[in-house]
Amino acid sequence: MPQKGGPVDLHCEDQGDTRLIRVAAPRIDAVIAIRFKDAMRLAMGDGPERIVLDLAEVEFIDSSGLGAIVAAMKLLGPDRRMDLAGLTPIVDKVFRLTRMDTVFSIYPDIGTALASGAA
Amino acid sequence: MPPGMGAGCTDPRGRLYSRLGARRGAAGRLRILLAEILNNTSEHAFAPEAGPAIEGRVTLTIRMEDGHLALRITDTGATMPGGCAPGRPAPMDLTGPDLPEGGFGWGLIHDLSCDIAYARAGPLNILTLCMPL
Repeated sequence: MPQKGGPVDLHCEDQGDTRLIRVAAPRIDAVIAIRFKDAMRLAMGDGPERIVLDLAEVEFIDSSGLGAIVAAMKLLGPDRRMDLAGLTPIVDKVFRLTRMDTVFSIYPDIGTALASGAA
Repeated sequence: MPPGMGAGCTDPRGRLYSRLGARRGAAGRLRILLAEILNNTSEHAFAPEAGPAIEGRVTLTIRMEDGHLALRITDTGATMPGGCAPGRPAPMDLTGPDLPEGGFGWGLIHDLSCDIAYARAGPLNILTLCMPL
């Protein structure tokens, strides 16, 4: 599939030992999956140990988008981790059907995710 | 729902759902299902390595039946490998460090639908399946 369009819009903010990465896109699907993973690689960099991926603006995800999130998480290696926050209904459904909700810690929103950061 | 509409307003989608006898989330399930099926079509049936048919026609028909949607997807691309629709994939091992980064598509299709059947008729791939409402 041709990869069209510009970079995927990710907004980063560090709070203590956590890097918040907000996905400013309505969909993570087959069209942007590869660019999403590349953008995540840059956004995660060698920053804090913990990443919280804020998915509150993402209204739709498909299996390719899910694979890209898993791939990004695996880039972190064993000493860093990725948690998820703000899953909208369809995104939540895809995580539950594929049982990926058992792999990630998932929080209702970034506030809850940050409050649980000390765990 | 437009911003500013209060909780007292009747959600038009909710009204439509109850008229169709659909459960909450049916539209979302249909979107996931169609995304996976049509991605497979564009990536496999019309893949450059699948043959000369990198252009063609895809049709989608959705018929409302008793308690479910009957979906029929046809395309003029390459024949499905093995001549039948993939079955439900074996459960993935999600416990180790080497997590799967793909192979979720047919699992989702099987989770969300039933009576999946594939046939090749002349130049056409015909996939039929049902999504419970």
